Amino acid sequence: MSGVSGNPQLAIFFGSQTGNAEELAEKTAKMSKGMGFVPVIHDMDGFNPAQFAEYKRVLIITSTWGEGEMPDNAEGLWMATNETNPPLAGVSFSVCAIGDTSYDEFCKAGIDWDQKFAQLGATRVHDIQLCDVDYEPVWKSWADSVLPIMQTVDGGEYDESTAAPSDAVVDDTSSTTQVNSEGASEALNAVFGGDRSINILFGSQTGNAAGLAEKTAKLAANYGLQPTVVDMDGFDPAKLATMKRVMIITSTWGEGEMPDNADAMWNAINANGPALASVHYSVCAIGDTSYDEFCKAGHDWNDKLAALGGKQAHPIQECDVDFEPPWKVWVEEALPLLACVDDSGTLQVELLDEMKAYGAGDEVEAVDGDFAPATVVVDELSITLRLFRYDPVAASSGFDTVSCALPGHASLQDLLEAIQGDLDGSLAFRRGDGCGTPTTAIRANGRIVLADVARLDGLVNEGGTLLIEPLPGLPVVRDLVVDTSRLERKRSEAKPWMRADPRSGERLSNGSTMGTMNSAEATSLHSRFDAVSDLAAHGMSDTTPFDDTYVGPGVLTRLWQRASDPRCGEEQRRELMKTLQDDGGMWSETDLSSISRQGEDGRLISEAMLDARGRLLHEFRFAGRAGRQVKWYGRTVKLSGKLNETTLYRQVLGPLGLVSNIFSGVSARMVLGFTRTGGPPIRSLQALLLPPAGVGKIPNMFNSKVADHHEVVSLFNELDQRF
Amino acid sequence: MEIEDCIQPLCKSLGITLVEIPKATSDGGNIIRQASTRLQHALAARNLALAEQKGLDIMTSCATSHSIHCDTATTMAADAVLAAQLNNLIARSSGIEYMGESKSRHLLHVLVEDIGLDKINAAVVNPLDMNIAGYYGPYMQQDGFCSEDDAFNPHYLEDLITALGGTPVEYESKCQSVGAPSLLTNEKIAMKMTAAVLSDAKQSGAELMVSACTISHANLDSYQVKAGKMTGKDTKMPVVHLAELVAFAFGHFPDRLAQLITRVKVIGG
Repeated sequence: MSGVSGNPQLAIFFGSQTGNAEELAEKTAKMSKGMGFVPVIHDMDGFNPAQFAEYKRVLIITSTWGEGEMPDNAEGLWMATNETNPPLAGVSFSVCAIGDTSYDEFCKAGIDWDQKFAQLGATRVHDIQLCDVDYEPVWKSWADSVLPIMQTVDGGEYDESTAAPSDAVVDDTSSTTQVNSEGASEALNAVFGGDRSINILFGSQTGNAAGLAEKTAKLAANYGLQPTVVDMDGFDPAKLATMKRVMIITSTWGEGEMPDNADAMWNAINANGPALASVHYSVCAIGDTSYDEFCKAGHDWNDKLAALGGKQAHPIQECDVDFEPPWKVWVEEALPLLACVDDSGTLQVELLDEMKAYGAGDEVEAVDGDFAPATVVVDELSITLRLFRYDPVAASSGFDTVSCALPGHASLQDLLEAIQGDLDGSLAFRRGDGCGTPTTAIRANGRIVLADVARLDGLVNEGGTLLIEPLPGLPVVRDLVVDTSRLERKRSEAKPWMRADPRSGERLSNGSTMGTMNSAEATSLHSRFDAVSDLAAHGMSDTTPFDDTYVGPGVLTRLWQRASDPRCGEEQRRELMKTLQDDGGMWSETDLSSISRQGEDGRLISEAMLDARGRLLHEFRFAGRAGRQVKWYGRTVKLSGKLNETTLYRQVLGPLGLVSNIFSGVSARMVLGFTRTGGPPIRSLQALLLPPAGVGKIPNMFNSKVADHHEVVSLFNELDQRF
Repeated sequence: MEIEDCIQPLCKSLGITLVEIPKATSDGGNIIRQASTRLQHALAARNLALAEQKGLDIMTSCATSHSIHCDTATTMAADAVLAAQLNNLIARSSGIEYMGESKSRHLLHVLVEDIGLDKINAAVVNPLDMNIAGYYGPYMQQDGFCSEDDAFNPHYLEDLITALGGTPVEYESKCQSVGAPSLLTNEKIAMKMTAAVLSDAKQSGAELMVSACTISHANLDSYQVKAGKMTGKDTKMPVVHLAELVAFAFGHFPDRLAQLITRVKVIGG
């Protein structure tokens, strides 16, 4: 920490309405680290003005809000400071104020702080910097000037135990930052001091290892670590010697080889390997057991680091193609272990349990004050649950009955997790992330819902009963888990992706086409097809369990959306319309009402399908039985105001269809309907003149017109002259 | 036709006066809607306006028709621009407008809510001593269309059956579609769906099915043999309409009731 006199702490306070001042505070902190400071960023909100005096060096970065007012997060501190007027002798400060010269009270909040600090006895080491809307260059100039000045300010003696806790964790590029460790033991707190860096190197061919490295970095913060994700490509292995904590996540390529991005580093470390005596490490290797050299690259790294003197904190983790679960097991063990490596490079293994508990979520939560979360009080529901179970081994299914009680705002997923955790660990269901995960679609009391967001109080019947079944229309794998492969296969066969060429539109400078759409069109397109889950849509239809060839409403509405997209190429549009018209397409849905009754999403999907049908009728000129049905239904209603079923049957089924009804017994059953209803066999004069019309349940050949039938004709002529 | 026969005496027994609307038309059946949503809305809005002219609600014995009228009323209430356009059209053709006062009511909801089960029970002359499965279908069973009944776990038909002296039978597919709109265009699948509902009810112990939907009734009755043959399921069961069941219980058409009982207890189909 050369260049800084005494205690290296530098307190940076921000007053920010829209996040700009906060962002500048973070940037200032980052700059200061490189100069040897230990920056501590403070959100002004909730800060006690009596603690200002604990800092020798203070920077204030603030915007001005409205007509010269403090930003919201600074209001409280400003008022408290003016009420208590804490003495600030011994504090050196400077202010950077962001504002807008189009306002009269330009940068007033910053000016107020500057004057207040001076009034309270603090030493202004640099004049206030006033920044207009283009604040970045001006701020930079101020930071470049004030930080060297602050280096010369005597920070006094540095005592960690009396250091003020930071309210915000500083940027992750530094290793020397204080970590909020309230509630941790003294020993654990000691580990949190000093260098908390951890480097996560990845060797990745297809991106999987890189993705895991990013996830690992996110989890590292839970243990007070400052992670850096490192692509092995171009990385100098000599730098490993300076690192205390290293994780390597790598796949294996081909026949036991390094992934491409790790090749150079592997060759370099073999040519001239550094001594890694101070490095604690662990390796996670991704591979495929169908290959002989399973996870070889990972093992090579593991062996190499050990050979160079590195200390293996946790054994290598091998992961097969389903790598996520074993990775998770590894990261939950290896990360806390590496987090127990202190600033001197010693692994404090006795602190492992405490470190795990700390990382599991000992965060300080706001329980009081303006920003404390409100307590949600919802009555507990007593539920009698009937839960579908299917055992694929025994090939048997049935229902479990469970009595339970949960708060009404709990989700269906919460209920299933409670049952799985407390009653039956073998219960299988798909989990979501609590944001409406499409794959959690399930049927609860007849409604198709997404389990991770559906609230119990919206599902449970008046009598407290809840029936949970898997999504209909797809084979059940186990319990509530369905096999979606058939749906996915139909989706990929339908080719729903955009094929934009050849089509007209704007072109990029490289010549490729780029579609154009105005915002109103885009909004309309998105809002019409905003249903959450294609899988849930598939389950909404009462037809899908009975028709294997039917693509399903989920996929069909996506195809229709694509066909409605003006950026879609004409050739693709024609193909899509043909797919929609053909067998398995739009007309395979036997009853849209089974979809439309399923809430907002159901209504959206059924309306989209109606739109599609209307378009299909137009483009294909009422072809096929479906088209004839619509055409003749409309015509007969226009003719008399009533539907003429006889005409409809004749026109839709055609002579062959009518004959088949005779042989199948339908016609006979209708003629003999009077034997079932007890009514007269002859219902009208038409039965005598034009049998079998009017006999039994056979409808009349001709309908009398409704009164003032011309009004009906007028409506038809005005709205749709195709009839 | 059997509904026509039964609904008049049924209403007379309960003191309901039915006022016919000679100018009323088909509501489009959700078939016309596929070609033109506006045209179907206009037909339904005109029917509602005609009822409104008389200061009355519409009562229908068909769940599909009820849902179409409810849908039009709801759509017009939510979309003032569309409502104005539709009213403009029906005003030009018929000299009336729909102001949202009249609603569509299904016979089932009128019986249970307006008349009340106690009064119905008191009017029963011939208790229906049978195991009866109620069929709702999906049309009426939507939030906002099924009055105070539960859309996904309805019980009105079961309550009514109990009040008429019968034993209601619960079965899973009582709200499931029988594919009625696609009977002519996708018969094979419609038959599978019809067979599924009938066989489910029968396996649950039903001797008789009562339907609240006229269109679905055609599938369940006239096509039940074909559905059984195509699927190999046992679909043989007498199916009556709601209006018939109530009329028989009130003592109307005792000969028809006797015939029905014979079919249920002896013939089984």
